[in-house]
Amino acid sequence: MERHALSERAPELVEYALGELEPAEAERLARHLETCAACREALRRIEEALGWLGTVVPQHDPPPALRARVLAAAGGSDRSRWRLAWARGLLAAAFGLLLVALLFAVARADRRAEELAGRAMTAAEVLATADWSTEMRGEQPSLPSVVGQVYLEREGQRAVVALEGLPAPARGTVYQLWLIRGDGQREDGGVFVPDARGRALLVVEAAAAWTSYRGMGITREPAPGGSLQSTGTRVAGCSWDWEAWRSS
Amino acid sequence: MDDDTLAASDGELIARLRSRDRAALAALYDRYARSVYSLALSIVRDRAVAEDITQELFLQLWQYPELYDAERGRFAPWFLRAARNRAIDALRRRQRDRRLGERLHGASVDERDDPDDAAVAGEEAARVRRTLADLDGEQRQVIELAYFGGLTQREIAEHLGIPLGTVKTRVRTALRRLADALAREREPWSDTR
Repeated sequence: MERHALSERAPELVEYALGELEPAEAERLARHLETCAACREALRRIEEALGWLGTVVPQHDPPPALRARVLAAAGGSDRSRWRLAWARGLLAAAFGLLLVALLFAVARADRRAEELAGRAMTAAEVLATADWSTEMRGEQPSLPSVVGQVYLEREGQRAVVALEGLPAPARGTVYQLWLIRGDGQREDGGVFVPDARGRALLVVEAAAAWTSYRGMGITREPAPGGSLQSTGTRVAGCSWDWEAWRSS
Repeated sequence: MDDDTLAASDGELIARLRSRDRAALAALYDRYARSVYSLALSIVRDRAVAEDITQELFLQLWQYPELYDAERGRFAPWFLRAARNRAIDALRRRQRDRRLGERLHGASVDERDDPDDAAVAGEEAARVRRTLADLDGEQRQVIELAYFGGLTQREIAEHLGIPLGTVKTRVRTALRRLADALAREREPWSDTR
């Protein structure tokens, strides 16, 4: 039936599964997959092979304490408590972050205290030192024109991204944040799922100072880990131009 | 843990996660934590990072069990793929500034691996193991560099000094053989090249 299409697309499907396609190519293929059952089945088999390949490595037992940690964290992480707090404005956002840090501390009470203190400190620091803010704009017809706000320190590497109005991602997908470098290269900024009201508050760590970036983007990617390179439809984003800002 | 939980299928356990059943999470942990931890450890080569990856994956599964879509395939390969992607991501973040040669360290499966010491009991894992052992050296090399080393096909071509097209053909052939081995009773993956 559609075997010809499958043969033609096999190389592309492999690259898609390995996360190596350029964003535009990946988006084109994702659109094709929506309508081509044969390619979907081929991709499913490639992904399944990649999954089972993970079983060939030498086996080591994780430390017994890890099991207790996971179950304890699950016990303390009722879904509503894991959802991130939302706040409008910088001070309210700072308060929300501290709340999140506190809930995180409860959920992962076995973690070292200094790590938790460090996490809370990081969030507060980002907001205290932020000297630049811009809107995150919805890029899909179904989204509001503004879906959130980005706060960052231009010479620093950390940012807070507060989002609202995002619909729950489709089954089997998550949202993934991408940091866009000056040369257009994209870096993974982490995956997230908004709460029931479409809100999320993210603390982002970039690999370099924000002056070497020109924006951010949000795509939908396969759950739970997202992708190594953006492969899904871009739903929101923001961009900035430091040169124009300096000369204004 | 009661017998029902021990005997439940992965799909049944996932369904129980949705009703916040911690025994189901414990059962899934007992089934897959060793595989997930071992895979992450073989990629990142750092016990603390492998532990973090394992913990995060199970907690994410607990928080969002609906992310697993049974229509897209079995749970085990889906979960292991997520573990692999997360480990590669951690590896790339850590090694972004290191030279390529250093990234290749440890990018192959340990030859001393005991085939009886299977990660996930089951016919699929055994088939993948046998097929990987049967691949010719060149095919096995590229799939290991891509899968465990996190190298792109372009990086592999540069490292090995061979054309990108050759790398792509080898990766595709290796993956096709693995997929066909997993689906022996089904129609083989059609690829005319």
